[in-house]
Amino acid sequence: MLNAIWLVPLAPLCGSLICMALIMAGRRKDLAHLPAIIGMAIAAVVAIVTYFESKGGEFVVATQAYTWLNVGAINIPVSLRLDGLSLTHLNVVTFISLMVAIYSSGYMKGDPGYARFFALISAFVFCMSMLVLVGNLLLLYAFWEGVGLCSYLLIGFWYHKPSAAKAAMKAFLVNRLADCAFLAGVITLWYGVGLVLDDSTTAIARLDYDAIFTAVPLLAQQHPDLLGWVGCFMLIGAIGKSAQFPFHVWLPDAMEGPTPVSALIHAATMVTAGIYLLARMSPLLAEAPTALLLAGWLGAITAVLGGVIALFQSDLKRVLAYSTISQLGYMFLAFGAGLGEATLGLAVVAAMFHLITHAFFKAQLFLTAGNVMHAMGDVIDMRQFGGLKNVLPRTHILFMLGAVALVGLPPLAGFWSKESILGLLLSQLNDPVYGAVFGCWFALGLAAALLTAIYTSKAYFKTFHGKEHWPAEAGEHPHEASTVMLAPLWVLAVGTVFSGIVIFYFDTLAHFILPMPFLEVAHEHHHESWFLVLLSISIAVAGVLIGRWLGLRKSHAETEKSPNSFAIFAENRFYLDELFYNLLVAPVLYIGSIIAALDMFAIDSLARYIASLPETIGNQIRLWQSGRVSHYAAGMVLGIIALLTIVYLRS
Amino acid sequence: MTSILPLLLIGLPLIAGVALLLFAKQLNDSSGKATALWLSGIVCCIALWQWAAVTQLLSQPVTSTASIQSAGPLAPVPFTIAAPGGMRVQIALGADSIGAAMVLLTALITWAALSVATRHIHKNFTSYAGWMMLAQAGLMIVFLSMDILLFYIGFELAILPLLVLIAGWGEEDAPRVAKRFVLFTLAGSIPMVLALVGIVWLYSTPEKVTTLFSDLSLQAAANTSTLAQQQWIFALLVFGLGIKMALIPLHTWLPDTYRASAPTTAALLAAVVLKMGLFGFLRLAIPMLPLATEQYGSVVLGSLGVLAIVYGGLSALAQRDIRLLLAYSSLSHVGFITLGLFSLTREGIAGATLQMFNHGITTAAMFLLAGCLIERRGTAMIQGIGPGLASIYPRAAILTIFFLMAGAGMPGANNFVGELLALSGMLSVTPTLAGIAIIGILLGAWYSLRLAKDIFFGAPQKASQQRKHDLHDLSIAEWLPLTALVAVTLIIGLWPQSAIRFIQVDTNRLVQVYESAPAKVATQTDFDSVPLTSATMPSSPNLEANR
Repeated sequence: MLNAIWLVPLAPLCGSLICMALIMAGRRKDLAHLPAIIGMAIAAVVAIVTYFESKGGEFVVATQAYTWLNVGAINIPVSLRLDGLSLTHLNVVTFISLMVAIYSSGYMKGDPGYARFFALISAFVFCMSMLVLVGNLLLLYAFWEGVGLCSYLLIGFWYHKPSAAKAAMKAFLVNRLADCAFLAGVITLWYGVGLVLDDSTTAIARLDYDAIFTAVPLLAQQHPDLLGWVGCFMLIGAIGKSAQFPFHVWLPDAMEGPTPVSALIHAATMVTAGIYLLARMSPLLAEAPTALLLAGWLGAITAVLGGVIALFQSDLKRVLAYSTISQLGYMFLAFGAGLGEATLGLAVVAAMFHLITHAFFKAQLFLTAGNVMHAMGDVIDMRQFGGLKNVLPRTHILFMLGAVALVGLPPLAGFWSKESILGLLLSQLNDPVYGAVFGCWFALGLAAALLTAIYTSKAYFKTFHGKEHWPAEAGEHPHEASTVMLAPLWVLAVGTVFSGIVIFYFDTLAHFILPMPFLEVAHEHHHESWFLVLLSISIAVAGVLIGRWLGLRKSHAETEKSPNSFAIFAENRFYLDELFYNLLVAPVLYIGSIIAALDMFAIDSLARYIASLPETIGNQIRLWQSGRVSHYAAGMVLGIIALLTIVYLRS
Repeated sequence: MTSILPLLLIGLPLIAGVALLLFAKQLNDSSGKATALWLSGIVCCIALWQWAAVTQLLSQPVTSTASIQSAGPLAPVPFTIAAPGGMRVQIALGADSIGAAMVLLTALITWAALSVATRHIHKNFTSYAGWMMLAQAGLMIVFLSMDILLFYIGFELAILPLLVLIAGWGEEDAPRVAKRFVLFTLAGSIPMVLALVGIVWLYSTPEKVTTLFSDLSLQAAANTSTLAQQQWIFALLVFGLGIKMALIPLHTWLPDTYRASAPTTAALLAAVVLKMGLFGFLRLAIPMLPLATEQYGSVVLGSLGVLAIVYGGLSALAQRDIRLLLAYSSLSHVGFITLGLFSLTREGIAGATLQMFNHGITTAAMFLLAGCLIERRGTAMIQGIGPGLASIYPRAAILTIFFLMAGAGMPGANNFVGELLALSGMLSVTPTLAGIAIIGILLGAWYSLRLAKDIFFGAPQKASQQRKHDLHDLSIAEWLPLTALVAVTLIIGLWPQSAIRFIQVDTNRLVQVYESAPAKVATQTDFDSVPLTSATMPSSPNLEANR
């Protein structure tokens, strides 16, 4: 039965290949959604069946397919490793992608790249599920790049749009920058494991998770610096993929892709790969506190920063993008909370909890935003429409559910997972070493929660309440989305409403993920603090009210009041993109052009110098200068004669 | 039967080349094309057959010490040429897995380039094909020779037809560029000859003069020379080979040569000719000058490799001509190979050897694709070719983005494997160099993606603004060879072990001298009395473990 787990990545791969075959054959491209949806459905069913069969608890299963590489001390077998963590994440990936694929069959209808879309999205599901399932860090890196490639191709899906082309390139390169560090971390770790594990007889697979975790305690004793570097390198890789400050600049631009892509890749699954990496490497990070401290700070900063910027965006999809950045910041914050005594396991659980609930409600929010966009004739600027609750009644309800979950009002999903992160911080305020830091993060976390409530309700009220109006592109009577686009949303809504309370009540994740091999976990559970619950609810309600006021008041354009300088600053994303460009991109390009110019100059001068050389040596050799083949041949013969002569002389 | 394969692989292109040139007038255009494609296709098949034969030899279990040597290179039977005056020179042809891989690369690229050239070379195609086959013959000699004399002959002989190809079928300024190419090559030939003479001199005694690689390597491993002797020869060799492999600062001939040649010629130049220098290091410096290589290799050449990675990558970012961009990108990628080679570790050398093959495949594919675009758009400027071609030439777009991604080190394609191994090898020797080299992975993605964006993305120009109106997508003569290269790229990327398990048997043999180096110093006397013979050669444990 466990070998059936191979079906999870392979079924979408087959779906992708069939779609590609359809493209090449140029026939029946309108049926491309079938292989994709069937492949993902198989994957989702197998994943969920395996989940229930495994019954939770500590289990590790590895199945090997073939040896990818075995050279010197590098041994990389392709094997899948099934444990609580990977299976949990796998189910999120397969379920959300199935829903998004069904939705897309309606949303993308009539697009000339219909088949290409499904080929790419199936390929993405293949790469993502392999990323989660592989048992080797190098292969994780390989599929990490693979999902990046799919993301690149999907952001640039409408390749005729220059903005999409730019956004795709930006996303890939910002990720690549972080991945350089990640790769450095992987190779350094390979080297480090070799230092402490004896593999003189046969090359053991040093980058297999088990080998890494076996080596970590030894490394912590013998080479703590190396481990610290590896932890930081991994963290940089993670913040790149998960769009954390300062690498967050690529994610908002990635909204140039089709909306289902934003929902699946840039909200629910791919961007959470960074969280998965940290969770996967938690036994290592437990010995690399610097990385965790950095994760906590970056997460806290990003959570607030993303919230502030989201507040000042008028593009609905961009609000959601910055919201994603901010919520991912929460998950990184959770890892920071793992700094305490043996609490990293609880931090992993909290982060994964938020990952799951976030996947549900953010996918739902994006897809409902897609419905709005569809109805508004591809206009997504919230200033151009409003009061749509009667025009799009079902979409309105669905969006509202997602928004309430995001805001964090009980009993919807977001409340419980956010609570578990903040609660973990709150319970550790007395920590002798990091108590003050935790307090700081807790405050930032609350601030981010307030901001989340404000921008979410602002977006909600602006879009669905107030005066009913819509742009010319939407036509006379905008219509509600079709059933195929609404049905998956109702399914997601079930998760949005219930996933939080179910997971919280049964404590599923802790049972399922926590008995992690190689990770020491404190067994006492933190108790729900009523103080925190009341505080959170009051913050959320206050935020919603402020947001309602902001969403329903007249905009600057109508009141003719110039926005204050902070608003301009935030609207322009604090000019971080420009900063990134001017500090990193422009100087490199400048140096490049200087080097290229020098090189061209060197070619000419050096070549001229060499051409004049024979003249100075003597007239006989000048005939070489002619470059004629016969002279060249003569030179060669001379060389051979010289070779033979020396042989002759020596013998 | 398999022992004549090396001879066949040299003889067939040689005869084919001469014949095509002789009958260039008689053959009409289409029959010339057909003949050239058939002949180069047959060479491909023989090269594949040789690879199969070599790998089969390497998979056989090693039983006795006597058979180990024959399990290495394929049929290294020396021929003895007797000359008047009692002079005897031994020459040998044979193929080990390194040579066989390079031969396969040469055959594949020549075939692919000729196939694409049928669409792009409009004057005297038959002569073009003849010179290509002659160049191929020269390259085959380099990769199949097992002695210094033949190696040198091949090394120089390959350049002659290439000169004709560059000057005869290139841009307007191609003759001038070809002249510069000759000057550089000649400047490299002199130290090269001196170095080869030096090696023979170093390991010959009045009783026994040898030019065979096998004898020389054994002598070198037996530690009969000193570092002081080796380092001068090494320096000469670095200069001689460095020009061929465009070692910075000896690279200045490269960008202009690639720009001025026809893209199909540039494909062969970048894929195979650029590797001759690296191959020379594998055959000569690493086994025969171990002390000097160890002393200066990772420090000097490793640093130069890293310099090439960064320098080439940064320069590529600033290029406006697609051919120059590809030229500088080659420079950058060769840096990775240098890095791996001179890490002198098992991972590094095996990776570098594989990467010589890999880079040949991807860079040749890129030059061929660039040729297709230049032919259609009438310009080589990136701004002139693009933007928005994805909707006009979808096949070209898919293939180009595929090979750009492969070149940018995307896992699943071949380059990732080689670069990973090179980086890992260097990390365990000089971590700083490996750390800087990683920047190359970012730069590689950067210029590749920018090229993709500028050419294929965006809104297409209006028809009136287009200089040329060839709106046909790739024809079968163009996409078929490129698809074959896609297949090779994917096979090696998805299952590198299938190729590297054989390559590493031969590369491990090279590394062995360096791995025992500390022991050598400690037990100098022991080593003198026990020369490194076949008994200490590796019995391919990895290979057996994998079977």
